[in-house]
Amino acid sequence: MRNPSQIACSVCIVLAATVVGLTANALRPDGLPLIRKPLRETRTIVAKEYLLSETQTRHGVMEQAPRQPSAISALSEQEPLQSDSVTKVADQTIHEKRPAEEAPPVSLAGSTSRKLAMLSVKTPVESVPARRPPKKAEALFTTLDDAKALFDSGEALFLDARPIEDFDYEHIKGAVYLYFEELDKLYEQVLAGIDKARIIITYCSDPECTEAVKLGDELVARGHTKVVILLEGLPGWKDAGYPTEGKGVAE
Amino acid sequence: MRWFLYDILRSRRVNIICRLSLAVVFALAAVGKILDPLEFSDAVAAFRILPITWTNIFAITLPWIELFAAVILLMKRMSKSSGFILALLNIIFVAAISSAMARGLDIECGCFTLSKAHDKVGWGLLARDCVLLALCLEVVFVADEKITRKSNIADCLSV
Repeated sequence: MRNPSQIACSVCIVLAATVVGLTANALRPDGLPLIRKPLRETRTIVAKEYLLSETQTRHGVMEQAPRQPSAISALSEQEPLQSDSVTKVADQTIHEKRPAEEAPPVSLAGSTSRKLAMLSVKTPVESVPARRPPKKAEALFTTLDDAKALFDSGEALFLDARPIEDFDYEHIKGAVYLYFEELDKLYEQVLAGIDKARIIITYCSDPECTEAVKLGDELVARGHTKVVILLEGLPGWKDAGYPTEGKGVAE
Repeated sequence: MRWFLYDILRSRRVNIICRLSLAVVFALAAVGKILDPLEFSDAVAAFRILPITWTNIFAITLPWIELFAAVILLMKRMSKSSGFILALLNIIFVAAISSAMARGLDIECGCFTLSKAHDKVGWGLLARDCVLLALCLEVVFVADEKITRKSNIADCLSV
């Protein structure tokens, strides 16, 4: 292909396709935002103390929490839950486009005093602006330290969202295999007798792995009220020196 | 013998078969990705090559480039131009798959999101993309110029 006009044609085709693609994406209601945020910035981190509290309803909708003397509490009797602010925080799904007129969401990453947050983003319909449909419930994130504390106390059930080969090779000690792609097949086997209020921590292979996020969201949709995601995954767990087991782990 | 094979490769019939095959494969691949850009974006992110912030732009534009190139490939006079685009895309795919294999990533290709079969990164996928690349190179470099005659800019822009 030595003819410069053929190369010019190719460039024209690419440019035309790019313009059409961006326009089509802008016009569709479920279009992706042009800039994808890292997974860590898309959801709230929930504190371990909140997971251990008894304020969750069966459906994961948080009731007004009693005043806590703890520094990490963000709720008080004088300040009932602001559904708008909670909605803003929880509105940051992975691929959501924010309208320009909304205020910037509260950023929790790096905050020294972590705010307690809802496990579910479901809010009463009357408090949601009419133009925005109610958000579906989704799981939030937990930190490595909180996950380890829950591991030590035995209060959490760890679910490995990776394929069976990866699970067999190495997984968090005591974790149960529940590959997201086989959830329908394995759900009854793994979680049939489990209390819906049991703390469940899902994880997979790294901070940008979406399998654990999808698994967490699906479990919340099925009625589990305390589902969180360990973003660091198995590599973060291992790097911290926490216990693992499997065929690939030296005794 | 060598010139005989070369003449066959340059023939109109082989050219049409190559262009039709490429057009069908890339059009089907593109449609799936256009219908579900979210899944394609996740698949691109899984390769860990592009910065995470760029994966959405890539997932939005690449399927349309594939679709345009696949459709225009069927036009005689612009087939080399679109074949060149598809060849470049294939080179990118082959490089990405090779990189993922070298790093031991157990991920899906995301090439055909319409298909329920999972397209794991591996030697089979690499071989398939190499075959597609060979077809693209036939269209771009080997096909007789007489088949795509009048390739000046005016004829490129006419349908």
